[in-house]
Amino acid sequence: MAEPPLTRVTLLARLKDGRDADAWREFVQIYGPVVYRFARNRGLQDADAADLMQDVMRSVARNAHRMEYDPKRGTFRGWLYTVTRNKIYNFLSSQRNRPRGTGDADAQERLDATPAREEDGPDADWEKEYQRRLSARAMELVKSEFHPNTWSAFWQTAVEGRVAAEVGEKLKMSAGAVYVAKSRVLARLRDEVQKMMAEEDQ
Amino acid sequence: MADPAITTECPTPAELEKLLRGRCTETRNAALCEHVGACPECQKRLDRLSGSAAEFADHLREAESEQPPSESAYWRALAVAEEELRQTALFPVDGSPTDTPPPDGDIKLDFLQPPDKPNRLGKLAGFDIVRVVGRGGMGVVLHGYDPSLQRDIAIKVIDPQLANNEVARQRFCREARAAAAVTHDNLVAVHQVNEDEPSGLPYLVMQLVNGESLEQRLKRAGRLSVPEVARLGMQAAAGLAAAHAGGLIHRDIKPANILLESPTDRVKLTDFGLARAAEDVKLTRTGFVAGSPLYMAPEQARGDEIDARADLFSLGTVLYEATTGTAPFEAKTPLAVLRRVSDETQMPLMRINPDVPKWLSDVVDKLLAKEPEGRYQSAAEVASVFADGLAEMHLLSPLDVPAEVCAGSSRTSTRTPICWAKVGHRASPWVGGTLAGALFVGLIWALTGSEQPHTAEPPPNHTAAPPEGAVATVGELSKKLEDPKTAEVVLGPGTFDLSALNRSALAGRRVELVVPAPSPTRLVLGSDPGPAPRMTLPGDSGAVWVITFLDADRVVVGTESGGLKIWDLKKGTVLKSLAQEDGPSPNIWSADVSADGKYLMTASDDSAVTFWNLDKLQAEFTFPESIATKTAVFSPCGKFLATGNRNSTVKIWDWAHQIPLVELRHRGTVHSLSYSPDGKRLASAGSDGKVKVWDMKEVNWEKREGPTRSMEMAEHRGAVYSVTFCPKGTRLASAGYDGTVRIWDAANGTQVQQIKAHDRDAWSVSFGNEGKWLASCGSDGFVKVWDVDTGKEVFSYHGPTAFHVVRFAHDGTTLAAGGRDGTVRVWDIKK
Repeated sequence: MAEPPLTRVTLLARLKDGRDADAWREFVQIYGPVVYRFARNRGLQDADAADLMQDVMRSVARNAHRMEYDPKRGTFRGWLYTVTRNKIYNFLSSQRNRPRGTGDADAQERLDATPAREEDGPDADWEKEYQRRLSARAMELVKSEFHPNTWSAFWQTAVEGRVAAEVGEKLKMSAGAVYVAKSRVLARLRDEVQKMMAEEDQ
Repeated sequence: MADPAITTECPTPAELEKLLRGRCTETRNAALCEHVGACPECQKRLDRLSGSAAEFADHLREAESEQPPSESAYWRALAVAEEELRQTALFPVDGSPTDTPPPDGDIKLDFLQPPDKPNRLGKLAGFDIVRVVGRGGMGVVLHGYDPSLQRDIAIKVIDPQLANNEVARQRFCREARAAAAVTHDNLVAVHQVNEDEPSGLPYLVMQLVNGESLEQRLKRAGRLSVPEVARLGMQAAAGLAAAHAGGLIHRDIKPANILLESPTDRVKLTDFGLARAAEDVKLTRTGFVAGSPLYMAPEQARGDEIDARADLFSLGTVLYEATTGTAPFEAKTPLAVLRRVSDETQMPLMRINPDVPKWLSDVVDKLLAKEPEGRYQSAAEVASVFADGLAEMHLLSPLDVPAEVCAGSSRTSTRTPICWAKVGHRASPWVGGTLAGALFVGLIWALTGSEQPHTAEPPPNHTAAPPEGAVATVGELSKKLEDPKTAEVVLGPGTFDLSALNRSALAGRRVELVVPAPSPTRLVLGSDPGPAPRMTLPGDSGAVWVITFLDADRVVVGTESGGLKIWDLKKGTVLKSLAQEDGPSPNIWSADVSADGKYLMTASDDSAVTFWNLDKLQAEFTFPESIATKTAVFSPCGKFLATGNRNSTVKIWDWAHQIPLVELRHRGTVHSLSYSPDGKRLASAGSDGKVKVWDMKEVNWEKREGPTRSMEMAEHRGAVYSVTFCPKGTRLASAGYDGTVRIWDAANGTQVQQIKAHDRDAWSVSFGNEGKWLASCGSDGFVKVWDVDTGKEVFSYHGPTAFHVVRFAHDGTTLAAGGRDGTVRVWDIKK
């Protein structure tokens, strides 16, 4: 895996342009789910996590310009992480007085599990969500490039973890063909992920 | 490789790469697949090449398996976020420091409720919306109609983008409330600041000004004549003086914020403090300061701290533009404007236009001094200079002179006597009678529609015959005034020396000088302001909203800027000023003392409920509510605290443990709560116009379930601001937006009295004299006490500004009232 990119410069530049509706869509497609799932992992309920995601997206819309003035502020993703983390913290804080009221004894614990300050940039959990999301996004983008059988071979072996021979039997492919199919899709996905990350690297 | 179809040799890395990219021929592809199927080594090589490290596959697997279910709120939120950002993309925020231009096309009015009358755009918080007046950087201005008070109003609804910013929103509401606290002829009156319940958007209800803005005028006419400019300067400075005296800085004086009211072009300044709220948004958004750079003082453009003198600079730029048609520091880009504002000296007006007199040119130059120290030091001074200039041009009637010219900065300009000696000699006969000599303190001005010619020519002599019944001499005037039945005196042409008046005849009467053009000047005699208070506690921190008696001699006073003081009523001194430890406090809306007298509780807009230990006189603990708390009361037993917030909810807490136990509902802000003396019932009042009485016996404390039903009293039109049980628990009293005070049978909810108590909002009610009296107060400046059984008025006092809160002490005869002017007046009412 390549070193995580520093700043999503290109996407940010496109966001700044303002008129680039595609850039916003792409941004939401990638980061919306990251924020949502990160929030869920921190113990937020579905509706709360969804609200929080919307809130973070709005925050970006309002602040995208500021990023230009101070690129040394940190990485885009790191900044987004801070925004998200703070909002989660605030949310859990606001719940702080409710545990006894709602019988939700976990809230305090979740709050305590949330670090008060972030010194080393985004944490592993956040990065993992981000990588997952990039992978998922890549799948959405490249799926149509492949023959359905090729995709199925990849899917069943790489994602579902079945053995090549068994998958080949069902798909009327040789085990070798299944193997090659899987590798081919994976290679393509890796390219796509790298391309998305390269957008940040430039 | 003799037979490529059955090769058993491993392919080269290059060929494997080709295989991976699908660039081999069909035959070769088939052969290699067969090989890979049989060759574990090549399988590993492929894995390495394709990056199918376990981690990557894990990501794929997890990404797939953890998709939220289809019923998840996530999907909707994602779609909404995308749509919102798409909108942002279509209407990009301009990075320049100029005002954001309004989006093209129709103004979105989707926050309006559907209209219930034809020819209306819709409804907002009970107001009928007639049309869109305009749109500014801050939001939409609507022409509305208030059906309950039957008057036209302007409603400014704040931009949703601004409303989403919590800091900006709170500041907006605070600044708007501060603006509402200052009343002046040259300021657009702000009647109300509130939030629309369904949309959550804050809005201002303002006076609807007929006329046009200076911006529109300049666009239409190019520029103004010299007298018009001088008059504009004088009136705008007078308005600013009143605002500055009330602690308000406008920060965004520009032609668009200066309204010219028809038909006399009376100047009305609008949008006070809104620039400040906009700044919160724009600063975070663009890193630039808010405001129109064309009209901005250098220190403001630099982002330095500013004071009232920045408004004077802006006024200078406006007058400059009004005279020449061009702003003094106009440039192509905002940045160039900022540079010119800071570095360049404007061309003096008299050099651009030789018709401009030197004094006017000099005044504007002094207003435009780069350093605040070089300018006039107060707006009152500016108003005075313009008055002198106008008088020299023989363009001034004394009735045009705003109070500030003589009184300097004063919060209560309407009560300040004009210094007659100064204006008397300038008087021209054409405006009807003029008055000379010292006048009694307490003369109240109501300058309505004074006419002013717009040309430099001397005004024509008044040739019309004196109006019928007009008095011609001071003697006649004196005689009329001595008759207690006289309600109005019409003044004939001439000058009246009021020092010759018998003043005792007027003791305690309210006198207004009304000068409606073209009808004759007249004196209107009002009623007695009422019994003088036993004492008046001075205020220094904004309008009073809270008065709570600790006992007969100690009273807690809370203000909208967070002031919280305990006064000793015997000595008239402050016993203790309570302050939050962390920074400025927000509006104090409500306060109550616990049953054991140990704690004082205050509720405020920052959502916090604070408990002050009354022995130690310090804050002991707070518990934040997520929604701004408007009202809170302790239960008589001392165990519970009931709170009402801006989000339709009444909560009953085990306050010592900070546990919310039960929730009850209204629609809209809950303004007031009151427990019956036995604690068995809780009355609540809200923006939904309802008074509800909840039976506490129906609460299931175990399951934490409140009563689902309540006794409802829905006679009020508009919000109910105050509700209270009488000491015996048999009666309830309420007051609200419709100006009425209503008394109810607490057992069955029957209305037993309806009193048309106040001309405008009735803010507060309090029982006294063992429940036989009810005190009320309102925006009309009256404090009244009513006989509960008969509904008759037993006491009345008229103050200079609105009263927000009225309270009887436990003795039932000591009455305290406080409001906009920040003071608290105390009376002893005799039984």
